[in-house]
Amino acid sequence: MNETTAIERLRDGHLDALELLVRRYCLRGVRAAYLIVGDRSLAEDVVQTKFVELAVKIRQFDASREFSPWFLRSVVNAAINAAKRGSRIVSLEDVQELRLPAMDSWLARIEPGPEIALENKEMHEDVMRALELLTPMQRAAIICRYYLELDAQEMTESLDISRSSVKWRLHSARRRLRALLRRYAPSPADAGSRPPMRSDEE
Amino acid sequence: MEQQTFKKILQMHVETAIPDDHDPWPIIHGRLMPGHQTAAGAEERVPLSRNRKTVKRLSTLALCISLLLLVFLAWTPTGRALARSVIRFFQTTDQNSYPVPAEFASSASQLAEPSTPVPTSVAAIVSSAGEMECDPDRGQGTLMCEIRLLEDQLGFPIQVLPLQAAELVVEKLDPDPNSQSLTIYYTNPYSLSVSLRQGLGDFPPDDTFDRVPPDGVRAVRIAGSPGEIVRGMFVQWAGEDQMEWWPSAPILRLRWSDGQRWYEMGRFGTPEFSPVLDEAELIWMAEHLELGSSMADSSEDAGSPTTAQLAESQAGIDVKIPVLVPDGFHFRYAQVPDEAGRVMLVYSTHADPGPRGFMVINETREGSDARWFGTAKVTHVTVGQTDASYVAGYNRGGESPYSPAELLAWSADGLDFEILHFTTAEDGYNMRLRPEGVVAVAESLR
Repeated sequence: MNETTAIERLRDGHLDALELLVRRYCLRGVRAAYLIVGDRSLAEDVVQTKFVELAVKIRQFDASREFSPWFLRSVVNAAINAAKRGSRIVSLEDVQELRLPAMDSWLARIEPGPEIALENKEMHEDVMRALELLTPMQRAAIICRYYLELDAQEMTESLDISRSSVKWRLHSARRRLRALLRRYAPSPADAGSRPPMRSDEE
Repeated sequence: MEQQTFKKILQMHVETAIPDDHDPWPIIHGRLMPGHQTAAGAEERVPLSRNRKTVKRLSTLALCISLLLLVFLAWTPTGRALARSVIRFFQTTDQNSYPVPAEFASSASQLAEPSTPVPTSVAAIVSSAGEMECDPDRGQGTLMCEIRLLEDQLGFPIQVLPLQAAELVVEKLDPDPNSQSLTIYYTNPYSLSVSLRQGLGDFPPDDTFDRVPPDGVRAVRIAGSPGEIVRGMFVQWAGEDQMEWWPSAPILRLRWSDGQRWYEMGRFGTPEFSPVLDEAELIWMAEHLELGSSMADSSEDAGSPTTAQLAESQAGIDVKIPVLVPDGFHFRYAQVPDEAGRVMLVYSTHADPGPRGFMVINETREGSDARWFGTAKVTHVTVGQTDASYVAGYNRGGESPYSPAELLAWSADGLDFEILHFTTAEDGYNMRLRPEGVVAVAESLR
């Protein structure tokens, strides 16, 4: 059974047809949602709910469109809403901790072990914490671009906002990430002679 | 950090958190089929359909009650009075349009009056040493210094917006001694303006323009506190003599109170960018205000950032500050770069808004902005060893309450400079500099 057949069967009320769509898109959806909401069970709940809704509302899906972007769009939007509902207040200490070497990572430096792996682990943790400090919309823009690898047009459709908003959100999210992850920035020589705060990448 | 590294980190993180063997099908199947046995080891979840009938009945009941309440509030006099008392922050008006108030018309005609002839007089220039430092006597200087001094004056800790979240730069701090409040103006590279106003006690009364039709106000929650949001405003269209409610104006206003202090955030954008910083993001920022005085302590830089430094870092040029300024003029703020990358340093006689004496120093990369003096008579002078153009009585077009400006323009060290010096009748015009004074200010730029 292929995807088109599965959708047709689902429209006819055969719930077993949903299994193919779940097995094909659930993992990607849960991972994208997890990167936005930052909580595994919440991400799973978001995606499971979307599949349950899909089974109920499959007739609303325009079969002439591609299923994957349509479904991921609904997952991303549901994840943004879930993140907004559950957004916690980020304390100043959180930000400071990220900017300054944390005590535990400093202690970890004197532990034996491959230094590079440690550096990577630190960078990994800092990236994920920096991501948490973005607004849900900014985080979604980053995930759509760098995890789901959507282009500007697809992001416009996925996030259901104008192209200028996509551009602005991506730009502001990148700038904030850049500021939070300054310690990993390339050296001035790598950056060339570009003005420090200007970005025309978008 | 390279994009590839960033992508790899995201990939690794998410693959560790949600492994490939993640199989949600049994759970989803279970949620679709009430009573269905979930797979062994699968997480127990409540099927959606359980209690659905009860939920549906309760929802219908709630909807009916809401509708009845809405009818009561909108169509009965008692209801409307009650609705007004419930609306706590924005003052409402029943009118969707009204004649332009007299005070507005008179102030507009005042602005349109030709400027008074300017007597020639002499003003001294003085050292500006200390202008950029935290000097309580002068009351101006660094952004952090200004915030701390204002905190002393206003008697409450000043809250600021989380700057990084929305790529905002502080443009101006505008205290209002009458209402004991402060407005902070921000801007960003997309010509979006955001303001944050705050004060103690109750909201000051709205003037006519700030009022809102009752259906334009919507209740929101800001970190658990009650608030209201409004899109739209009363505007006077060109050629009209009525103020008219424009519901789709690219303006959002958010008001709330945390019990002790009231706040108002405004977002003003061009229609093209009106989706930027939407309602949800505005609320997010309102929920994440930071203490202004702690910004200095948490700053990554050793010193406090000044508006001039912020503007400088945005423009990517070394902004030069005058050592000498006209007597009675104080540094107020640096405006962030405009499209031409121009940094504007603003000095004025008074901190209050309104027509006052100004000295404006524009600095931009050489050749970024074409100079045009119109039909004005240009005198050639020198700033140090550099040729410069001086225009006495320069007028950039349009009527204004300001005197025609003294304008000095020259280029040096890869930058184009302009000094514009205005005075007003209110200042008595006795603060006007002579050409030598303007040149002396120019030569003192360091």
